[in-house]
Amino acid sequence: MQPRFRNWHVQLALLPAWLIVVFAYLGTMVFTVRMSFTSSKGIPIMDDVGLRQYDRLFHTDRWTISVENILIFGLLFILGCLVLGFLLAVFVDRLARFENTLRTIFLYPLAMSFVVTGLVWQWILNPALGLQANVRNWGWTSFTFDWLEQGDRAIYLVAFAGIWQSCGLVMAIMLAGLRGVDQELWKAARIDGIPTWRIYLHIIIPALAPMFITATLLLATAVVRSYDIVVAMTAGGPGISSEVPAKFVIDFLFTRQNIGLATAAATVMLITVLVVLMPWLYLQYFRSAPGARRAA
Amino acid sequence: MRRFLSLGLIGAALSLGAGPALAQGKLRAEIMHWWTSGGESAAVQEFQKAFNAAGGEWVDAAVAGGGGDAARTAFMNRLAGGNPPTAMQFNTSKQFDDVIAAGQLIELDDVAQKDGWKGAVYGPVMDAVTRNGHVYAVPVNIHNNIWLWYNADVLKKAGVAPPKTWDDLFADFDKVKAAGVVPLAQAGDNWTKALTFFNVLLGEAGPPLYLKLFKDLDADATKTPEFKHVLETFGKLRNYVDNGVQGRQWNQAIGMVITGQAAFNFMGDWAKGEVVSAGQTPGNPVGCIAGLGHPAYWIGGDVFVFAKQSDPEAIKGQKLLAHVMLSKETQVAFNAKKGSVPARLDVDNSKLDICAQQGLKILSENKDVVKGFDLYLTPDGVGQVYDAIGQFWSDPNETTDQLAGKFAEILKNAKQ
Amino acid sequence: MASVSVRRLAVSFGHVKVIENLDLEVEEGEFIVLLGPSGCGKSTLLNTIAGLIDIEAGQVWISGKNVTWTEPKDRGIGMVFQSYALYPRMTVQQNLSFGLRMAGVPRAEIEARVAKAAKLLQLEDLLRRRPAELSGGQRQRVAIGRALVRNVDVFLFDEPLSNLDAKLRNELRVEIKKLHRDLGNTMIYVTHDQIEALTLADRIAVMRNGVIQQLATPQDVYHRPKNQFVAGFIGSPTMNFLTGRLILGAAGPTLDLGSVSIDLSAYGFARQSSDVPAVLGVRPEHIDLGAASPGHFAANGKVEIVEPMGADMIVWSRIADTPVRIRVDGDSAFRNGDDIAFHFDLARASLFDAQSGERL
Ligand SMILES: Nc1ncnc2c1ncn2[C@@H]1O[C@H](COP(=O)(O)OP(=O)(O)OP(=O)(O)O)[C@@H](O)[C@H]1O
Ligand SMILES: [Mg+2]
Repeated sequence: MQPRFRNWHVQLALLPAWLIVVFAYLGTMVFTVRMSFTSSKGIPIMDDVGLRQYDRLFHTDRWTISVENILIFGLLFILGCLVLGFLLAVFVDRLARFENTLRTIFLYPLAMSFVVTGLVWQWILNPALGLQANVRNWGWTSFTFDWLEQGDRAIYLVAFAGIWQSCGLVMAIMLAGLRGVDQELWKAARIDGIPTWRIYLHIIIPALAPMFITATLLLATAVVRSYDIVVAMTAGGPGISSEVPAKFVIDFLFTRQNIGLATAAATVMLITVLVVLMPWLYLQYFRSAPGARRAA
Repeated sequence: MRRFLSLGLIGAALSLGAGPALAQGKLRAEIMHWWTSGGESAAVQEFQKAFNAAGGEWVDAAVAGGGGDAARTAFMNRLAGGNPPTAMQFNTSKQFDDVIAAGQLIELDDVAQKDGWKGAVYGPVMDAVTRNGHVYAVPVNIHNNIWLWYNADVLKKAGVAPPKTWDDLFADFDKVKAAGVVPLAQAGDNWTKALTFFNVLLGEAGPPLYLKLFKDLDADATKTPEFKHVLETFGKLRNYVDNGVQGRQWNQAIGMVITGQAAFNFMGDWAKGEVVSAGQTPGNPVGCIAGLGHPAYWIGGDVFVFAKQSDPEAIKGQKLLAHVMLSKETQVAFNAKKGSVPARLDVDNSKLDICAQQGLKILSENKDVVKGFDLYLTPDGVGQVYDAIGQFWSDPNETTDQLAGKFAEILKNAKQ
Repeated sequence: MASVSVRRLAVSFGHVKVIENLDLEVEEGEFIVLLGPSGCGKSTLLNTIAGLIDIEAGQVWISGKNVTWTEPKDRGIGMVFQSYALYPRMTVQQNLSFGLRMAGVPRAEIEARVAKAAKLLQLEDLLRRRPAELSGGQRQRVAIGRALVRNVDVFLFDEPLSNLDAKLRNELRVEIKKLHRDLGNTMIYVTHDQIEALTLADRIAVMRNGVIQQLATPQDVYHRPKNQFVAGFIGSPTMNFLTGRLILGAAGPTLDLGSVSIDLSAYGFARQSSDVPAVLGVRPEHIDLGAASPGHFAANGKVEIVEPMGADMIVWSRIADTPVRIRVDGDSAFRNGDDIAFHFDLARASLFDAQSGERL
């Protein structure tokens, strides 16, 4: 018997898993890409209109705005969460006595969904109901904070709410990382006379690189999928100024009944993610096989 | 030819479990709709009562959310799965065109013929349910989307009268503002801003420009001075809202008028439901103007369509339901609760409120009645209009010429 | 002048007193090993000298200066840790130079010092690598190098070899010994490996429960342990202990084991006391087989267990019901139940007060 077929019963047991991978994942992906070349409206049809949907996509203001927004949101959200999450972790780590209380406080927002987060911050930031109205009631009548009403500012508030919600998660990851740092490393650095902030910057943060990568990946998937927080907080508004790609896809798939355009947008998202992911996967592969590199 | 893609093998297999249409001699029908608020479900009860009395068995499949988005999505999924409900609600619009094109709906020509829909149902509404000479849906009501609501008490306090023209309105705005009240209550969703825009278009410029734009899809009409004036007037409205627009729902906006926090609000006649549920009678103090400057009726409404079924008993049930929904008695009972006016004009309308009477008058003159722009544009096109208007509203740097250019683009696309 | 001197030191963690009233004087250029069981406070003492732990009372002097409240970096010490504690994402080169850069040492000077340390520790080919790409032994050499480049008087080692396998440990031990020979610095070295202690140390400080039990040369610690704890801790296999009663009779001092009495005339008493419970300690390697020599204590017994250990063999027998280990040549052929005769020289034995454990 040929060796590669010796384990046929193992392969048989894996068959359902293979079927799921092929049909549920690859299948839907292929289907999505295929649909983006059709003129499908509310119901999928199988014609071929070439790149027409893509042409329209890139001439649609709403898409361009969505892409701009996801870049702003993604950058702020990921950086904000990483920086704030790390600082909180350092803070909690240093105040070990209050760790439990602090950790609970910072992790609390995470227990809320993006929808609730979006709603809560929408209320707080709503000029007519929230912060602005209250400060004015207290007597500072000229106080104005109405970014939520301003088309070019709203996405920053969404990023802020996202950071508020998710930095606790990053804190938890970083705290685990900090706890895992060899105490002798701290001692060695103190003997070398390295200032504390430099120890964090040059030694601890590099040592936590895997934590940062994990956190970044988690946050990045949240960015790509960001939909609910926008819907709950701004519904894409004012106007269409805080729209994001995932919302574009969902709106066109259902409300707007343009499957062709929606799948074109989804395909662009997929390709972007792959393009961003490729170098990382590439690095990852070579890092995990140093022997291969040395041999080369 | 468009080939309908049936994803339905699994769905069909599942649907085998669904019971037979005939249960204990009754014609069973599953009706999917999105009428879930208090007043709406009271209205649905009227349909249910009438259908059950006529020998049917009403199985309710209400799907709440998104102004019908959720229900329509559910329907599309069940249709693709080969297990559609017996009847499905749509707006009087192009929402169900795709389903007709895919050959998924039954024709109601025989019911329409027998019940004499043609003479009784209001003409434009009848047109809206007819494609290529075949009737595909039962119209059940008529809404007017173009209303200006105002709080008479607030106006009196500010020393102004209800406006007759748009110039009046802006003069009123200034005085009301000086009196410390929000002049215009505006909701945040783009469709509500679009509704405000159509109030300007139909009220200030009148139906001809509207029809040129959306019926004829004439892109050149966007370059006319009249249209520019409409856009400028619309843009001016932005100066009279408070800064709590973002995130405000339509019912909160009309609520501001009801409570006197704001003087005016543009909204469809479903806003009347809020007035009534606040314990007020339409007209006092919340008054209504159908089309400021140019009394007009933008007809909207709801219809029911019937998906093709294999079981002949099910088809019988569908036709019975179509018959019952549009019968005179059901129409009166249903629309009294829904806040709209009946889809057929040969019924007794004397009990309707003062705002409905105002609308009926325009309807019966049949002059300045237009169909909703969602009858001329696909949901995609409708969405583009919402996007363009929403973007213009929130971007103070966008010029009216830029907005006009976007309209031209949308109309050009729609013509293809 | 003492190079490092610890005076009346007390350290506690919370309510737990780990070190109380400890004194230690280390001479210039001396290699001191702190030896003791786990948890006895060796690392704590070392960290205190380094300035990494706040002390409760006492003083630390290094090179004639009171450094009790001086920052670690200014104490003139370098330290090497068990876990290497290399800066993970930096190359060997950067690991060696980072501290100097922070201290503002001129670039040329840094390069010279790094080159020198790299040469001394054979790290020249590894300078570009990161810690993850080094073997354990290489990593520890880098850690030593990082202490070296600081150009300090005193080196502190906290179990630097315990993460390495036996072979590497032996190699590196020799390297450290050479390093000490070549540099001549003061070194304080923590370990719980007695072979390391005996081979490296000029003096060994045997610790227990935060107290230095004996501070002496390896020979003294081995041959003249100050108390029963030190005697039992040093040496492998462990010293045999025979418990009995010390009697200063007319015929000279004897240890009465009940059925047997051992003549202690040949033993060099440190102090005399009579009729007290006492313990006689005899190292297994100091018991010889065969006919007795004069002045030796002789006994007969049966072989109970045989443990071959390559070069040596441990034979278990008995003196007056107390099991004793005898270390014999590895080539010997003994079987369980064989009759044997053995003897030992009392001049090489140690006698302890059974109660206080102090040497008599
Ligand atoms: N940070 C600390 N908090 C509380 N107790 C501590 C702390 N560090 C050490 N101890 C305690 O102090 C005592 C001495 O610890 P130390 O680390 O000096 O032991 P050691 O001799 O180095 O042991 P080992 O050979 O296992 O390294 C131990 O009982 C230990 O539990
Ligand atoms: Mg230790």
